Amino acid sequence: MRRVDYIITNEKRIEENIDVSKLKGIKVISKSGHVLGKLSKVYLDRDKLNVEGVLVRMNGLGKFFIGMSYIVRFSESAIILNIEPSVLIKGKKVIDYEGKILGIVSKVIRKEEKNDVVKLQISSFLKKKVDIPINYVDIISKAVILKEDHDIRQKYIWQRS
Amino acid sequence: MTSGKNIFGKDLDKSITSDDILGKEVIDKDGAIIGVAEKVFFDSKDLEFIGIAVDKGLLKKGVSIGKDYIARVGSYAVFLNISLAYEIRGRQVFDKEGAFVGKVKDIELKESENSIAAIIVTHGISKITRIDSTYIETIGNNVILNLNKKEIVF
Repeated sequence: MRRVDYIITNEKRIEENIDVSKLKGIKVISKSGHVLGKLSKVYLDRDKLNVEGVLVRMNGLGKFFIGMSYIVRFSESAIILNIEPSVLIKGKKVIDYEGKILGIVSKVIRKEEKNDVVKLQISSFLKKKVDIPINYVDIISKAVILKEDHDIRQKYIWQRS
Repeated sequence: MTSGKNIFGKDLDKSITSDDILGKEVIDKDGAIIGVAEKVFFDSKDLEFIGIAVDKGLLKKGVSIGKDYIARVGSYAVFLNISLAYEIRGRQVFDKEGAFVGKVKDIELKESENSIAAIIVTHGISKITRIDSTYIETIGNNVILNLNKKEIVF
């Protein structure tokens, strides 16, 4: 690398910063280590000039802009988030307190554009779709496990609502 | 649920039988279905229930789980209060910066409990290293370490 002259005041030197041109295509990893996809772009705030968020091409789910508040570590190897993106709940099995499989999550209803989940929509073969408020959910991990006291009633498609 | 007369002198309505366990799916703390309960173990002396054996399918070794790791027996499944440590075999290992370190080849347990003492990580074709559990930050879908890849000696 050619010698670089500096014109700075209190800013960090080059070796202490991240070269943004090297970030395109690096992995984006969730809190639990799930490799979500690859980084597409980094966005700066026009006024403050700090990083506002990143555009991520998530495997099979399309592009998502993830805000800096959800990023815990930024390096030239990967970006690590402090969350499990709730959009990944889609497709997971829903199991009730007794172990009965109720169906799969067909839609995740979030609070505005945040990662917080408000409701999960479940679909099951020959049954009408039903919404489950998040307060009925005990665990969201490899599957969604419901609490004991839910009053979810699934109806067959030929039953009147 | 039991039926018929009993000579226990106790209310059996809240008890369960081996039929309520055998053949049911076993679900870990994260909701992953790990297999089907195929045996129920009792202590030969005091006849206390000590655990279950889980059949994980045709090509996988079964596993025995102590009763302390069973959260509840539901009508359709048996729920555990743990995720099986053995299940992390094959998962990817990343350093604290997110750089790929290798894959979990094997694990060392603390005695015969479900607690991990160390992971054996393979990198490339022949490089193997043992990483103590104190260097593990997170175990989830994959493993994230709390140290940098450069600090690991292969």
